[in-house]
Amino acid sequence: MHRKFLTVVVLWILLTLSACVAPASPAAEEATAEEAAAAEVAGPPSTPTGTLIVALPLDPNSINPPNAAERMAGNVVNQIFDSLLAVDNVTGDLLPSLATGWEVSEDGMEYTLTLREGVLFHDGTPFNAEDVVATFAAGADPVNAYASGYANVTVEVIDDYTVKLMPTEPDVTFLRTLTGYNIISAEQFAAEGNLGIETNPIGAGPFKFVEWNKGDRIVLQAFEEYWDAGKPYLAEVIFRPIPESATRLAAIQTGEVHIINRLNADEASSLEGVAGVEQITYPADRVYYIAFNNLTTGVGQPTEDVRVRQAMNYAVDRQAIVDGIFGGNARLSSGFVTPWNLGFDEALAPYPYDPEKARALLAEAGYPEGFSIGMACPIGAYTSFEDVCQAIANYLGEVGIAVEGDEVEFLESGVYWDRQAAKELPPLFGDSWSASVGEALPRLTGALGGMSESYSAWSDPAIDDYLTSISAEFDPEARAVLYQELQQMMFEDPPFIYLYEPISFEAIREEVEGYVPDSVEQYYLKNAYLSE
Amino acid sequence: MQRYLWARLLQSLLLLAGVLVLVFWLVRLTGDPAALLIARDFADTAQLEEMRQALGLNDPLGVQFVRYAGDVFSGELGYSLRFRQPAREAILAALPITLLLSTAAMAIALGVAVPLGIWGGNHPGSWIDGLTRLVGLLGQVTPTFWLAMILIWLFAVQLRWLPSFGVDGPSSFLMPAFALSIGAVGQLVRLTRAAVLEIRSEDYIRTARSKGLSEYAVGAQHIARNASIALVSVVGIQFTYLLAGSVYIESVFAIPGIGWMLNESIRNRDFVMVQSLTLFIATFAILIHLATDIAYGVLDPRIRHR
Amino acid sequence: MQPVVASAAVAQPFTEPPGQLAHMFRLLRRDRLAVMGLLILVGFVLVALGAPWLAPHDPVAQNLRTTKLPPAWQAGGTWEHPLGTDRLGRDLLSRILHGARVSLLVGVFGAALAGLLGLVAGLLAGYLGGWVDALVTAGVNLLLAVPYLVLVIVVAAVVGRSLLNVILLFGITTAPIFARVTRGEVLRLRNTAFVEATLAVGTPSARVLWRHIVPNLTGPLVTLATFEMSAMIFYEAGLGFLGLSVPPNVPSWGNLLAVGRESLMAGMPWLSLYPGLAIALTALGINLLGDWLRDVLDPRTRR
Repeated sequence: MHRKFLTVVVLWILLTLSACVAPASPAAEEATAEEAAAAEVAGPPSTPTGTLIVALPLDPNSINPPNAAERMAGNVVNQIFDSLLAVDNVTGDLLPSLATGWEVSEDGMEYTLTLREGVLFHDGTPFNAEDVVATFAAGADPVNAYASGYANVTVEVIDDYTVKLMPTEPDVTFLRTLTGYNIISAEQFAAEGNLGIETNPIGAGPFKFVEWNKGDRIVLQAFEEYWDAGKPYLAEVIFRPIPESATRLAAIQTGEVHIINRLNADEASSLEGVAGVEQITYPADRVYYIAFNNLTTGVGQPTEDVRVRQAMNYAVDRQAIVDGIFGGNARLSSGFVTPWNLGFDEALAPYPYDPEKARALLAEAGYPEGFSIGMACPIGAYTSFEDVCQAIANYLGEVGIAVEGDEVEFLESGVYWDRQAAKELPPLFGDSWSASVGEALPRLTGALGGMSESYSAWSDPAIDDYLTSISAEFDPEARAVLYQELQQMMFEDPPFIYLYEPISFEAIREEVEGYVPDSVEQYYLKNAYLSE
Repeated sequence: MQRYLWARLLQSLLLLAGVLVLVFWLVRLTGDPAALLIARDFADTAQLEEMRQALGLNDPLGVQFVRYAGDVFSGELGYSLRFRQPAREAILAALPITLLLSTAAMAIALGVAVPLGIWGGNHPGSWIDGLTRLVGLLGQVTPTFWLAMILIWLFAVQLRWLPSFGVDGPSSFLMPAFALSIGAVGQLVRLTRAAVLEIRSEDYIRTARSKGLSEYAVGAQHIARNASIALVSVVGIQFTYLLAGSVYIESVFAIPGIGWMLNESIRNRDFVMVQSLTLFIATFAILIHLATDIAYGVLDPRIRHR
Repeated sequence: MQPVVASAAVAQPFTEPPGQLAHMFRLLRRDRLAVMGLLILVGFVLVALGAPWLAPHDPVAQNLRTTKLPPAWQAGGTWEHPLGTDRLGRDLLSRILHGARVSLLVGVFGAALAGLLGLVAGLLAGYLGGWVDALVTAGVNLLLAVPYLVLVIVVAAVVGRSLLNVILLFGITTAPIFARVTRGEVLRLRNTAFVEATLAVGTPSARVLWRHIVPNLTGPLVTLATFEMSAMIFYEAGLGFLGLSVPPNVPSWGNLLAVGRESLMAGMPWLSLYPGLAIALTALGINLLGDWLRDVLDPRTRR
C-alpha cells in the first residue's frame, strides 16, 4: 500500500509539473490569414453595436468625478461624463468638448468659455452654464479626493452658454486641467447631492450608467442622444475588476475580456503569439526616482553634499535594471521633465553608469570608505518596483554605500504614503510621479515644494525660484526655456537618483478598434468599436 | 434548556460588544483614512486637515464610538467610505456570494471526504485507505491560492471548460469552491476515518456484530450515526475557516464576496466597514457555534446529561 | 490554509502519561509513512541548518545579466543555476534552501510561542477557575472572533514587517487554540478521582499541576504543535500572497511563492512551482509525523 501511496504522490507532482511546463496551447497557430483580413475591412458601425468588456486591475473607489482618485476610476468616469475641453490622445492638442471655444485674459486669471448648445444629460435635461457652476460647487466638498482642485476655481455665469472661470492662483496649466473636470448635472446635484452621484451618476458623456455591482462589474450603455453625432459606436461597455494579474492574463486569452492593462514585461511577452490577442505599448509619462531628503531625516547626512548625490547617480546601472527587470522596456531618465512634457531638454543625457567616478566623488566628498544610510520603498504600489529597489541597494553597496540594517525598508503602500506625508521616511526613498497636464510643473512642485507639500522631502531656494517663475510665465516658449534651465540645474545638483520612465503594456483582443490610451493610461471609449 | 439558551445569548452579546470595542481600537492603529482618500496632487496639509474634520475623524474616540454604536443599533451599520454606500447594503450584497461559495465548498468537501473516510476506516491498511490518507494530506499541504491559479491555467486557459473569473453562473463557482474545499477535505477525511476506526473498535459494535447483525446493519446504524457526531463538531469550525480562506480565493477569482470586501476595507482604512464586517463575521461564528452545540446535543444524548 | 484542531469535545478516558521513547520508536518503525514523514522533516531541518553550505550561491546576490533563467534541464538553463534564476538574477535553488530557515524559524518558534502562551493561559484558567477562567476564556473568544486579516494588517501597520513580527503574530493568533485544548484537558483531569484524591491528601496544588496534569497534556499539545507548525508554514505562504509577509528581499517560501505567482502564467512557472513544492513536501512530512504522533501520544486514539 505504501508503494502505491508514493506512486500517487509522485504522479501528483509530475502532473503538476507537466501542467506547468507544457508549451502554450496550439491554438496560438490557428490565427488564419482570412480572420486577420476580415478584421481590417469594416469601419465603425453606423448604430451602436457590440459589448466591450474591459478588465480593471482594481475595483474603482468611486465614479463620482471629484472622488475618482485612481486612474482606473477616472477611466470609468471619462465614459459617463464629458469635460469642458478634451485632449487629443495622439497629438496632445486641446479639443473642444462641452465648451466650443475659449478666451484667456492677458494676465491668465480669467478664462471665458463658450458652451456647446443642444447637449443633453442622460436624464434628458439640457446642459448649460448652471451645470458648470454645480460641478465646481459639488467638487469643493472637503470630503472629496480632489476638493481643493475644485475649490480653487471661481465660476461666473455670463449667460446660459457662457461662463468665466477664475483660478484663485495663477496656473499656467489651467486650460489643460479643464480636461479633467467632468461636468455633472446641476439638477441631480440639487436633488440628490454628492451621495446621489456616487450611486447613480448622470453625465453628458457618450455612455450612460446602468449598474455597478461593487467588485463585480460596472455596466454602461450607449447614450443615443450624445452630442457628438454618430458616437459612441459600442452599444455597451462593461468594466470588470480583476485584482489578480495572473487571472487577468488568463481572461484575455480566453476572450472573456477585451482589454487588460498594467502588464509587466514578462506578462506581455508571454502573450506573444497567443491567437486573437494584440499588444499595445506606449511610453508612460511617469518618472521613477529615489528621493533624497534635506528637510528631516536627511539633515546632517552625507547626501547633503552634492558630490555624494552625483556619485549615487553614477553608481546605479539603470540600463542593466531596465534590461534585466523590464526587458529593456523603459526610457532612462535624465531628469524630472519627460519627452512628453513642455521644455524637455533632448541634449541632456542620463547619468552614465560609472562606479569608478562614483567612488572618486565619494572620496572627494570625504567618504572614501563609503557610509551607511537608510532607504525605504513601497510594496505593491508600482510594477516590479520592489525588485528595482533591491537592485539599487545592491549597486549602492558596490561603491561602498551600505543600506542601513542591510536591507531596504519595505513598507505596505498605505503606511508608506503616511510616513512620506509625515516626512518620516529614511533619507533615501523610492517613488514615482506621473503628469497629466502635459507639463512637469505639478510633479516638480509636489516632489520639491519643501515643507508645505505633503509628499516632498526636498527644499532648494534655487529650484523654488524657477518654480515660481515657471508658474507665472504664460508664454509656453519662455516657459520651455525655464524648464530647460531648471533641468540642467537639477542634473548637476540632483535632488533624486533619476531612474526611468516605463513603457506601459496592455493587451487587447484583435477585434477591438479605436482604443487609444494616452501616456497616463487615460482613454475615451466613444471612439472604440468591435470589428466583425 | 431555556435558561441555558438565555445565558448563551447574554454571553454572545457581551462577546460581540467586546469584539466591537477591540476592533474599533485596532483598526484605528492602521493609519489615517483621509491620507488614502485624498488625491496625491492635491494633498496639501490644510486640505487633509479639512477632510479629516469633514469626515469626523478629528472627533474624540468616545464620540466616534458612540456614533458608530448608534449606527449599529439603527441597523445601518454606518456609511462605508470605500464602497460609498451604507455598510449594511454593501455587506448584504456580498454575503450571499460568500455563503454560496463556502456552502458549495463544504458540500464538495463532505461529498468527497465522508465516503472516502468511511471506506478507509472500514478497510484500514488497504490501498483505498492509503488513497484516503493521501487525499487528506494533499488537501492540507497545497496552498489554496496556488492551486487556484493552476486550476485557472488548466481549466480556463488550456481546456476552455470553465470561466476564469467572476460569478456569472453556476459554472463560475466550480473552480473556486473546489479550491476552497481542499483544506476541509483533508480535515474531514481524517476525522471520518478516525471516528469510524474508533467506533468500530468499541465494545457495543463488537457486541452487535457478535449478535449476528450484518456488516451493513452495523455500518448503517452505529457507525454512520456516531461518526456524524465527530463530524458535526468540526463542520462548524471548518465553515469559519472557509470564510477566512475566501480572502484568498475571492481575490484570485475576482469574486466580490465578504473576503474580498474585508481585504479592500482594511487596506483602504474603511473603519466603518471593517467594524461592521467583523461584527457580521463574529455573529456568524457564534451562530455556527450554537448550531454545532445544538446538533451535538441532538445526535449524542449523553451530552445533555452532563 | 487552516489550523488542524483535534476535536476536543469528544469524551476522553483518563490515561497514564505516554510510554517511553524506546517504545515509541518501536511503533515508529512499524509505520512506514511516519518514517517517511520523519525523514522529510529531518531533511528539512538539515537543509535549514546547512543552507549556507548547501546553497550554490548567495541567496541575495543579484546578477542583472542572468535574470529569469529557466531550470537547468530546460532550454536556456544552466547547471550553474539548477532551478533557474528570478527577475534579479538570484539563484532560485539557493533562495529555496535559505527559505527553509525562515520557514523553520516561523514554524518552530511560532508553534512554541503559541504553545507556551496557550499552556500557561489554559493551565491558569482550568486550574484556578473563577474570574481567571472567565478572563482567559473571554480573551480567547475575543482573539478568535477578530478576523485574522485585521490582526495581520494592524501588525504590519503598527510594528512593520519582520521575521520576528511574523513569529509573534502567529504565536499570538494561534495561542487561543492551545489555551482551549489545555483548559479542556485540565478541567477533565481535575475532575478525575485520582487528582481529587491527591488534592485531598494535601499535596500542594502547584505540585499536582506539575506532576500529574502537565505530563498528561504533553501528548495532545505536542500533536497540536506539530500540526500548527505545518499550518504556520502555510500561513506564511498566505501572508506572502497578501504581500504582508517578511520583507520582499528575505527569501521566505511565502515570498517566493507570492512573487513567483505573477510568473505562473507569464512563462516562468518555475518561480512559483518549486517554492510551492517545497512548502507542500515539508507540510506533508510534518503532517505524516503528526498523524503518527497523535496515534502514539494522544490517549484518545491509543490502544
